[in-house]
Amino acid sequence: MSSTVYIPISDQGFCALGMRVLKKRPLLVFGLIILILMCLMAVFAPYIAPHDPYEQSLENRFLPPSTEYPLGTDQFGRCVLSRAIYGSQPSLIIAVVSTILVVIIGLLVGLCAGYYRRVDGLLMRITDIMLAFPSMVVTLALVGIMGPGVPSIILALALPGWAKYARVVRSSTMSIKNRGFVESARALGAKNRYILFRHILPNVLAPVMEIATLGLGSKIIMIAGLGFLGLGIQVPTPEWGNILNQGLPLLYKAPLIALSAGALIMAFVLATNLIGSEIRDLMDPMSDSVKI
Amino acid sequence: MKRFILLRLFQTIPVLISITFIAFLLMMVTPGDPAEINLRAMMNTESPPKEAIEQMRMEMDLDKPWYIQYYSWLSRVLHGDLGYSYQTRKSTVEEILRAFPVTFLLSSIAMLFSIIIAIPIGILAGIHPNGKLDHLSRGISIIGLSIPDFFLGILGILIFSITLKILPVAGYKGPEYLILPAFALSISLFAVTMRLMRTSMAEVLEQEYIRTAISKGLDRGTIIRRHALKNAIVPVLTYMGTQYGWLFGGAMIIESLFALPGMGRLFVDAAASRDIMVMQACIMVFAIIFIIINLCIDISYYLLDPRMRDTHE
Repeated sequence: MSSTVYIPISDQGFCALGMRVLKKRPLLVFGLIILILMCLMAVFAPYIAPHDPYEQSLENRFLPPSTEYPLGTDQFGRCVLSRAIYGSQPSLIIAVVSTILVVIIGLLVGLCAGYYRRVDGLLMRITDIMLAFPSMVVTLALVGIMGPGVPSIILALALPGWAKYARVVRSSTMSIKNRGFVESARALGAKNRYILFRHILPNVLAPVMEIATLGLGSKIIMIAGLGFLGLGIQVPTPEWGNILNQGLPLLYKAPLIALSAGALIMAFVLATNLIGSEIRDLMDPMSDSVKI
Repeated sequence: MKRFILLRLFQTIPVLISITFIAFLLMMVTPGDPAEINLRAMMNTESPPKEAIEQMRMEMDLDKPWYIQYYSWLSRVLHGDLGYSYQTRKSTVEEILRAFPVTFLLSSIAMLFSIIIAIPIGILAGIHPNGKLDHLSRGISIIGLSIPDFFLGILGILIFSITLKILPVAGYKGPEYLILPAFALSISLFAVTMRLMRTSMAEVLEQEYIRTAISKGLDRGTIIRRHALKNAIVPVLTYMGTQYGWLFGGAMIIESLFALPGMGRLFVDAAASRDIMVMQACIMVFAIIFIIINLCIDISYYLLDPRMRDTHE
């Protein structure tokens, strides 16, 4: 969101870092716990969910919450809680895969642009053009062309997303490549590729981790947005976005359908926001930029 | 001054060209014959005769290689001919002109919400860092950044329209129909603006010239109003400026949720039914708004910050 100069944490042991985190960063631990719980929920959905999310029964339509159906049932008599739990699966898988893709593209473009002067201009102009559109516009256009489906959603999220990472990686690369340890590696006869991947890459990972955790949250929102517009995961497969969409006309009768999915999205994004902003603080304790 | 603006305008040309090229590519990769779509609208029939389509394809240069197609498409666009909508058979320009004011109004009201509520709270929180209001605003902004705008919209409908019955649910029949959507749309801008204002204010109050003003014996109110606020508000306003484009392009889901006939809904409907020429036009409008806003921000930087001028002249 803001352009901060990142200081790499290469000279800090990760174990020592871990201990300090636990003591001083309760918000980070809180965020991590929510995130881990969410992931466990997605993986073990068949064991946690009280019912089959697809099981319909006409006599059980619009039941109020009970011990059998903790959040009641929807217009087809399906268990609302089970659908919300299963709904985490497509969202999380798509968000994680597309974030990994985005990180890889962004890293490659950023490293090349920052390290090789010759391609810098061209790559950064392409990046500028990617940043000239709101990413949701590009995603929607791509999904519109390719049609809804898991691969096309992943691609539609990844294509506009990498530009931000490329920018950050490029500026970190440029500041690191003139440092002493890179110079000495070069003096020892190290090849460019070796320097890039063994010396520079580990040092740009920290800022990338920060935007990747924040990006994970915004991807969850975008996936849900697509589902909400009817362009994401298609019904009857439960997904938070399409549950919200289905719950919208039923707000009068069964508000818990929309509320359950919305609350889970919020919890996930809250976790990634907390983790992301805490990582930023850890990397650069002096920065007082837009802290949440 | 003139030279700087001209230079900056000159720099937007390659970006504009690549945006039109991307929009053109979109038409190339999407199935559907633009000539047929245009004819359907012009002749007002479901299936125009084959010969007429062939004729139209020739006129639109669709039988030529791609660079000639691009050239003739671009010259049509520059003459204000953006083709027709596949769904409504109206001209795309007409559709855009109808939708644009709605989104413009919606995003402007969303911006106004942030200015009149978030900035004052941010100022007060910045004057008393770590006070009660500061903690409260921090909590609000954490939640505000984590809640998807469309879920906030749904919550708003549930509370204000269904339970309290004081605001309309959806549709667009008057200004009161924009209150809930604008509020939902502004939430993330609201959250960041509030924190940015707080940080900026707290930072400025630590500076030497404020200490000088205090030691001169000026009262607190005057210092904050006349000395601190002027400097503290600049980064906040420029940030909000950059976010206007995002509000404008990000209104898609909110507009669909509240059934507002704006640009976002036009674009979503076009994407869902592969209405190529409407999609093209929307993308270009979104991108051009982005470019214009960035241009304005650069020029205002130039006017506000004398240090910028030295590097350019």
